[in-house]
Amino acid sequence: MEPLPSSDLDTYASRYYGRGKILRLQHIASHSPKLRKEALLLALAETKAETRDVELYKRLLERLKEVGQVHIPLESEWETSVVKEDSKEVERLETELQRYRHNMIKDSIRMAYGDLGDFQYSKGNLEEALRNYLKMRDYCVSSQQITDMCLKIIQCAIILGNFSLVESYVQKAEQTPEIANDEKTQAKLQCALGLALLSKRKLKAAAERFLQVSFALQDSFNEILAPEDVSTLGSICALATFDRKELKRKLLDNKPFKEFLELTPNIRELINDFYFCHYGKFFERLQRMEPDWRLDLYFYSLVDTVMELIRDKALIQYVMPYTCVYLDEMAKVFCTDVYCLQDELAKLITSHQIQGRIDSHRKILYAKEANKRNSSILDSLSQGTHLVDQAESMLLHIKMLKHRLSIRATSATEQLYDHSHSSSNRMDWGSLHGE
Amino acid sequence: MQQANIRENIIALIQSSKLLISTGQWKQVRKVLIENTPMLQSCTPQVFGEILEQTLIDEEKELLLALLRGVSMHWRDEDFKLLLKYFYYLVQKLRAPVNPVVLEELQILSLYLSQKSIEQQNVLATVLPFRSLCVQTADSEEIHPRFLALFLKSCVLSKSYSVAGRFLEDRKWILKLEEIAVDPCDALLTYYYASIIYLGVKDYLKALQCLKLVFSVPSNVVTDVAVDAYKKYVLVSLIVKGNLEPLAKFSGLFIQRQLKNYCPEYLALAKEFAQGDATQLRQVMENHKQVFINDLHWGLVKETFKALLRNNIKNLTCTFLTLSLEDIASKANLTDSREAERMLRCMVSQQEISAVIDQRAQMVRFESMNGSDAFGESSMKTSSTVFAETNRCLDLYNQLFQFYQNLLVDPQFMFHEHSPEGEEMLDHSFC
Repeated sequence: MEPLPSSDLDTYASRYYGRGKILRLQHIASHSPKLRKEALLLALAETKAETRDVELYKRLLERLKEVGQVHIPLESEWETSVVKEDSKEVERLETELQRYRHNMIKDSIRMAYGDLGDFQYSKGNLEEALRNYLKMRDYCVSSQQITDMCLKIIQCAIILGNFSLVESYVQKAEQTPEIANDEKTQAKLQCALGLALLSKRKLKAAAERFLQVSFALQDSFNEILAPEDVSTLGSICALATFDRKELKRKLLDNKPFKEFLELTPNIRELINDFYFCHYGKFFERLQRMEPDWRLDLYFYSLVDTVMELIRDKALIQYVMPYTCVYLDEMAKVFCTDVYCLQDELAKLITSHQIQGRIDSHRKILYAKEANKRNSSILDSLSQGTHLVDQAESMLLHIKMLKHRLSIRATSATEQLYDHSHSSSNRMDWGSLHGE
Repeated sequence: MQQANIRENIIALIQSSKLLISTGQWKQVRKVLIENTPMLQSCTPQVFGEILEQTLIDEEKELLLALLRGVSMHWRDEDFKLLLKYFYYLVQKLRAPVNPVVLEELQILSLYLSQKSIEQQNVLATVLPFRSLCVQTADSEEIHPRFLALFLKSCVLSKSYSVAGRFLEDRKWILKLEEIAVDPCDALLTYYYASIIYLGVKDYLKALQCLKLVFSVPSNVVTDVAVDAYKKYVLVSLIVKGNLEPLAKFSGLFIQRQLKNYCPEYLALAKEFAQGDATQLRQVMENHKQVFINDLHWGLVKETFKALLRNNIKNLTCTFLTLSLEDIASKANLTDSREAERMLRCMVSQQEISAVIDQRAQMVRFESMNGSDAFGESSMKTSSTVFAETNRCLDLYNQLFQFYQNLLVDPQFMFHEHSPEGEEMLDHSFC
């Protein structure tokens, strides 16, 4: 099914700027045929306004032609002027850098590398930009300079999708002494780390990071994440991974994060519905929001996993107070049919997330009364068997070591494994014993 | 006329050997026998048999052994049965503790007989003599590893699984490792053959224990036996435990890693087994069928497939109270409800699950195995089971503790621990 966002594309795109915005729009163009043309047009406009990336501009034009947009004003003048200016600018920046390096003025060298990096970033040479930003490292003196350098690298690495670099530079920035006083930078770092954890599918850790983001972030990190994204990603990951107590303590009672939730009332309502067990409304809302998430650049690959986790949690939470549940009624609440629900519940019972058994004939789920005595005895017996096995193996091992008995490569009575040996020979004494 | 002379000479040789043995000069006996090889070779087995029966009395088993060793290298293949007959006769006369030199001679002779029996495709004939050899040379409960390995090997090759199974069942078999001449490969082979015996009698749990012991034998190289044992271990572990259990850490990480490189097909099978999808598992089986057949493991692989189906049904018993036969068939990847019914019937009769089948309604009602029949009402039975297991654990703990205490006061160990050779010895086992 093709995802369609709940809000219009212009409003969505206006939250972002720069290369991050272009990437997001390109992602939407790739994943939503209906929004493709609009997204590409917006991306084209942003490319011209915010970057000097002629190659990207040409690529976007090509794609627009492919989707049938023929009335595009040719901007050959812009292209020519940008190319001309670029060659002058790069020459100037490199000459400046050479001069500063010759004079060994540390701060100027750092700034020159930064300027060169910014220029390459704007041109779309991201690898080159990252290389220049990384060179700034040797010339940073103050905490502020280190933090700035880290932020530039982090931003560039996120655009490049190099999240391991993001993690290491977030750690580096967090170690600077003056970071505690800079709430905005801290918030940016938390966002960046949240994205890195998300890319590694560490949803719980990502949720915890996003929930710690200060509202001082405002729109300062809009090239990568808007405050609405922080609210959505933090809340959804929390819904998927936190237990009820954690949800209350870390999300619902989290006053600083409430400011983010105010920006996304739908998400706020979704959490409330889940927490107060209004499952009908909850799933309705969830289904309405799903298309938006499928178009999100950093979240689309996790949507299925997250939806499954949330649904499983809701099922577990639903059956918890009952000794027996009618599956017909439960199926209505969870917007599904009895057979699918039965399969979902069976999966949760098999993974020991629900303690119960299904009467498939009458379509009733019965809560299983745990017989702690029996399970303890069974556990201790199986542990005992395991222990005995291990102890016997260990005794044989140490007895042989005690008598200095071991199979060695140098021993004449032993041969190394050879693929050419046939399997029948392997059982033969001759494979181990020479004459 | 010529045979009569030979007979005279052999009797003289026996007399001189008797004198040497009585003064404990075993090496001299061996030398004399080697010198007289042409004469022994020219004597027909029948004449030799007559001489032995006339000359030897019960106490002179050592002499019989020496003569058997002397002739064994030179007799023709056709005389193997006669040689085995005398060997059996000799073995029955043995009483532990046996002289170490005699033991050494016996080891060489028994190995020779084992090889000859394979060459002549008459391994079955060696089963009883080797069984007797294990029993007669056993020092209290400790059996010599070479003899046990040979006996088990004979049983494996002649498919006399029940004979070996009974032998292993009847006694607490501990390997005698104190002997100087013990070869570590014997211990390895003993456990390897024992595992095959248990597989033969379908006692998979004991087979798994034996296979674990194969990897407990200290080793710093990957052997044929270890690779084959690991392949079996993967399959048996899946059948018994439903997953591939990791080997003990002291088996050596290097060895474990190397072993995995030699059997990717088996690991693929284990990976698919963990997914629980019978169709996919069947696919992997078919993809690597030739490898499994070449390894002589196709039967075990088929058992693994059945184990997956049984596992799937067991999982259903934990999840459902009632389920239709058709649903069972679809959820456990069985072909149809008839197969599901047949499988359930089999599992109920083997007490793997507790269920009642309503054939008219085509429904099955599962009952909890962890209920009263397991450990519920019969508190006496429960406590005796728990006590038996606890005592077994304590016994092993005491053995380990005893070993640890001995180690702490053992000057030889302390010396070796601080010498490069000793360190190497310890290192490879924990690498």
